[in-house]
Formats: sequence, structure tokens, C-alpha cells
Amino acid sequence: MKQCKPLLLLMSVLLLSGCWDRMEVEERSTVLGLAVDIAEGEKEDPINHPDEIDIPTSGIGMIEVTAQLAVPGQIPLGPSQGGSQSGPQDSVWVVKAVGHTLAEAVNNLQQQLSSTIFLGHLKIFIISDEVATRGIDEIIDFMKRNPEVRRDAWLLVNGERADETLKVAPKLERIPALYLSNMLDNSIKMGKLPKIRVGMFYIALENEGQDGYLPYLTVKSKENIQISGVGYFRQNKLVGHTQPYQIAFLNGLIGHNPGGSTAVVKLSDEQTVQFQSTKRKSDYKVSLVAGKPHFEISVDVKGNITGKNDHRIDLNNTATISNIEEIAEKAFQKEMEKLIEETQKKESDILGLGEYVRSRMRSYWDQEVKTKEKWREIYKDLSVDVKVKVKIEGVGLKAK
Amino acid sequence: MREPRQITATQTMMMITNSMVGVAILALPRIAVELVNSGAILVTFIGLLLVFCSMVIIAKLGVRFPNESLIQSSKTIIGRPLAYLFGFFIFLFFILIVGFITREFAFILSSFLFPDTPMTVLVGVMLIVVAITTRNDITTISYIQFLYFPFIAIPILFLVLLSIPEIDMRLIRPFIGNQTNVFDFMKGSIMIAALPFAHIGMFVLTVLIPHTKNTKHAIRGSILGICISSLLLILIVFAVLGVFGINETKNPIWPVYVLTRMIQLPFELLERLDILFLIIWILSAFTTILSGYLIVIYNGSQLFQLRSHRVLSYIMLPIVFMVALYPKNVIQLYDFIRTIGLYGLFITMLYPILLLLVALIRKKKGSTANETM
Repeated sequence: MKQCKPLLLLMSVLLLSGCWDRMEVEERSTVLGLAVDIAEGEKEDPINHPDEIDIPTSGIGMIEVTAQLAVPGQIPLGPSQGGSQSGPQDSVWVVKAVGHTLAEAVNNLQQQLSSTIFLGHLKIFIISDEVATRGIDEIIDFMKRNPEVRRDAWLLVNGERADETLKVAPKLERIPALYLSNMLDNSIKMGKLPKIRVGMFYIALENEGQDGYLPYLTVKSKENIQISGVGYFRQNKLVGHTQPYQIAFLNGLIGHNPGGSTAVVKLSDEQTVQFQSTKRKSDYKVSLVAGKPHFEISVDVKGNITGKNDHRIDLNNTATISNIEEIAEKAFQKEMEKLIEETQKKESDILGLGEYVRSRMRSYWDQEVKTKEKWREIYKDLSVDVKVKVKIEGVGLKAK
Repeated sequence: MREPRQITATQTMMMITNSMVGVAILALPRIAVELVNSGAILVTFIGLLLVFCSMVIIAKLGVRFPNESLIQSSKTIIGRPLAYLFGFFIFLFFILIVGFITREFAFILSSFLFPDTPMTVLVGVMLIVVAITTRNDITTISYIQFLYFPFIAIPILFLVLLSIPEIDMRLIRPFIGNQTNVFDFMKGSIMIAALPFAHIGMFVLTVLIPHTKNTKHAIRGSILGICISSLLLILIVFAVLGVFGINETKNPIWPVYVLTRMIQLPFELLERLDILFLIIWILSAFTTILSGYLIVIYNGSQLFQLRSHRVLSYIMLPIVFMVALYPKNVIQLYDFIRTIGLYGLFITMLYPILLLLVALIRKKKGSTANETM
């Protein structure tokens, strides 16, 4: 027993001391949403460096970062608690900081908080249109370098100021950032948005023959948010954004499933029907025509008719249905080609056509293309044919 | 003291697979794409083919001297002084390799799981556990590896399976890479073969051979082992390249870990799978470090003509510990691993070839008594 004592002591020291990296929830400031804006005229407190030194900024300029923090204990578990009327103002806290770089701004933010910033639950990362236009290298670098930031977070572009988005107070959810991320997740499930969480965006950004695109948001009357298209990038800079309706055609081009986007098909000057896709399939063929790559994209869309504007349209008729199909095919083809043309003008290969060339035509890529920049030049004048096949599978429950 | 010869082909296979799937698996795809971009799968295949060849040579050597360890048989082949010199090199090389992979293991753990735990504790705990385990005889150690095998192989297959929906076939082709030539592939495949797990996988066979039931078991087990582990490693490279593409695979230090953060279960049972895979990876790191440590102490005991490898279990601990703590940061660590791994190829690939050639020329053979049991 005597010999056992030191051993017991040692064992208890080793085994009873608990976990080294223990971190209580209260000691963490869980950031759910971050917004990055350009700081205008605001001055930074000397936190990371003395004031006298003139610190250079990145291409973005001075950065203002706005964080939405979850207040511990205020977030209800589960959907119940119907009676309580506390709004988002109580369950989240919005703080701001300014810095020369994003990493510095986040550090300055930490200076204002008692507990450690934790980005592991970061759902929403919004950048303003202006920041995205100036270049996002620094933001991507920050997000990738920090081991806490996850790849299923959302990077978003806001039309105006990014911090406006975090102030929006929707009625359905107590945490605005969670509401927004749920909205985007559901959009994917409903087929209204391609799968472009930040992980996929990184990949598109890095690929040799591909450019990235991100959801483009606008704030509607200060209390709701709308997905108003996708903003597309040329290398690291935002160069334009699509109209909301064009997301449906982008979805068709990349063959995103399940379908779900709707489109109004104009049959004549007076008659329209509403078409909703259920399934999409796209196929890319690339060949060399006169020494240049030529793409043939065939898109199959299956869907239903969900409405009509004129009682004279007889949907219970094969001829009408095939007529609608034909008109829809033409209209969709035109729209898809228009979308590609727009991105070609901005030299932003969001479909990743260059990746098809790289992977299927190795010798052409190695001799003619080699770099991203060269590919963009080729992409500008690339000939692309789109063929659309529309199949209407149902017209709903109504017989006529 | 002779230990009983009980190890079967299955155990040999599992021990080699466990050793080959090790710490470096998290970084493997990044190393593979470095020189040959989308030729990563092919270059991994060629690299593992090199490992396969040298494994066969080691096995052949083992068949000629079924009862002797590498150092004993090399004494008969090339004479005492040279055998001791090379034996000492092997000993030294594996001390460095084991130290560095333990550090790599601790570094990854500290960046993802234990940011505040000191490196000394992470390295120390792992080495203590390994040292205690090597107090067993080799048959028992092979049973321990046997136990861990399913926990390593199945999750890797699972990971690949879950990442299939995310794989974009565009990113995998062309299989021979863009703007690559034969030299890139040669360099790349040697870099793969020079990774620590390949050295450990190859050399653990020299420890096992004198303890397998008979040489047939050793050969069958080693070939199965290298085939299965190669399959797992190639699948991992395939999944990472298919999901991330070339440039994004080059970006993170540990792309496989990033992959585990990307994938999701088809039903929303668990949102985050990375921690689960990290736990599995700790097991695979343990088995690799265990094999490496076993090689160190086994060779050491042969070198110093000790009764059993157990004698060195604790004696080597501080030395390996100090080696593990020597690199300053992760960048320096990977530089060390690369340089030492490349020089190590002389020991783990060329030296056995040399031994086999000399043995064939001088017609040396070990005694085969006691072999059939």
C-alpha cells in the first residue's frame, strides 16, 4: 500500500485534472453573422499598432466589420415558447469595429468584447457590393486561414451596405442570421438557388477555367431580404450581377436538382402560362472548330404548368402542350444564351467551361491556354450553342 | 529469447495497412497534386507501385532468411561492420521519422482540437501510450493492430462514399495532368514513396517476418496489405481531387480534413462529421506511430544485441520525444520530413535491393529449420 501512494497521487493528478481546452459557452462570443463594409471617414482606435505609423491597407481600403453575436441564454431551443414576445433585439447583439485589414478589424472587435470571439457557428458572411468590386482576396484569405470558419457558411454580396442586412428583423426567426441562412438553405432545396456555399465558391474561384458567383441580396423595406440574382466574379473582383429570374436559367445550365424555379412563358400577346421545373439535366459537349473550342450545351427541363392567365388556353390538349413546350424551348434557349453572353462580356466564366476544355482537351489547353488570363480572353469570344428540351409532365389537378 | 511464430497473413496485412494509412494521409493529396496537378491519382499510383516493389524485395529477402531479422541476415550477407553501419543508419532514420510524425500528429491535433494544450503534452501522451504498448511481444502488437483495422479502413471508405455526390468529374481529368512531363511524374512518385508512412509500412515487414507462421503467410500478407492500403490512399486522393480540384487541393495544409468538413450525411443526423473523422484519424496515427516505434526499438535491440525489444521501450522514449519537439513550426517540420524521407529511400528501398543482390550473388541463405510449424 505504501508503494501505491505516489502512484495514486500521480494518477489523480493526471486523470482528475480534466480537459485542458475546456471552454464554457458563456466564455465565448458566438458570432453568427459578419458584415464587411468600407469604412468611410471613421477612425480606428490604436489597438493593434500605434497611431503614428501609417499602416497600408489592402485593395479594399479601411474595413468596417459588423458582427451579429448570439446572446447566451436568449436563444430558445426548439420552436416552442410561443408566448414570449421578445424580438431579435434581445437575442442578438450587433457590434462594429474598424481596421486596416479584416483580421485587424476582427481583433479590434475583440477589444470591445469580454469573451473570446468564436467563429465556429458563423453562418452568414456578407460583403457589400463595393467591397466585392474592389476584390475579395483578403476576405477569402481570412476565412480560409481561420480554422473555425466552416465551409458550409454563406458568403453573400449585398447590393448596398452590408450591415443593413444584419439589422433586418424578420418575424419568423429570432436570430436574423439564422433566418437568412435557413432561407438560403431552403432555396437550394426548392431549386431556386445553385449550391454555392462558400466551400463551393472557393473551388470555383481557384479553378483554372472557372469563376465564382455568389448570391446577391437586397434589403426590402428594411425588414425583409430578397435574393436578387447572383453576383459573378472575374478572378477576385465582382463584375456584375444577374437579374433574379436569371437564376432559374443558371440552374438549368448547371443542371441543379431538384428543380423548382418558375418562369412565365409568353404564348402570344395576351396569353401566358406559368411553368415550374421539376427536374433539370444538362450535358456539355466541347469540340474544336477551326482551331477554337466550340460548346454544345443541351439542357433537359421537365416540369409542370402551374397556372394560366387566360381561360381560353386549353391545357387538356396534346397539341397545346407541345406548342407550349416549343415556345418555352425557344424562350429558354434565348435566355440562357443571353446569360452566357452577359458573362462573356464581363469575362466571368461562371459555368466553368474552361474546366471542360482543360479536362477534355488537354493538348489544346497545354498549347493555347495555359493560364487563367488567357482562358478569359478565349472565353470572351467563345462560341456556345444551347439546346433546350422542355417536357411538360403535368398540368395540376384541373382538367382544363 | 525466441518469441512464438504465430502471426498470420491477415495480421500481416492489417498491420501493414494500418501503418501505411497514417498521419500523413491528411496531407497526401496536397503532396500528390503539387507537381503534376490533375495527374495526382496516377502519381500516387506510381509512387505506391514503387513501395510495392520494394516491399516485394523485402519479402524476398525475408524468405531467404526466414528466422532472422534484417540486421542478423545482413551480417551474413555483407559482413559484420557494414551490417552494423547500415543497421545504425536504419535505427537513426526511424528515430527521426517517428519523432517527426509524432510532432505532425500533435500539430494537427493542436490546430483543430486542442489549441491550448501544450505541444509537449500532446507529443508526450502519444509516445507514452505507444511505448507502453510496445512492452508487449510482437504477436500481441499484431493483435492490437488487428483490432484497429476495421476502425481505420471502414471510415475511409465511408468518407469517400459520402463525398461522391460532391465530386465533379471535370476536376479529375486529364489523368496525366496539364503541362506535365515524365520527370514531374518521376519526381512526384518518389516524393510519395518518400513519405514517412511508406517507409514505416515497408519496414514493419522486416520486423514481422521472423514472427510470421511461415514465409508464405508473410508474402501473402504483405502483398495484400500494400494493395489494400494503396487502394485506400488512392481513393482518398481521388475524392479530394474530385471535390476540390487542383488549386484548392494545394491550398489547405491538410485537404482531407477540409473534405471531412465539406461532406454531409444524406439525412440530417449529424451536421458536423469532421470530429468523428478526426477521432478515427487519431487511431490511424496511433497505429502508424506504434509500427514506427516498434521498428526503432526492434532494430535497436538487434543492433545492441539485447534480449528483447522490450528493453528499449522506455529508453528510447526521451530520445524520440526530443526529436519530436525539435522542429520550430509546421513549415520547418514538413521541410525536415521531406528531406529525411528522401534520404530514407536509400535505406528502405536501395539497401534491401543491395542486400538481395549480394545474397543472390554470394548464394547466402538462412537456416530454414524451425520454419514449418
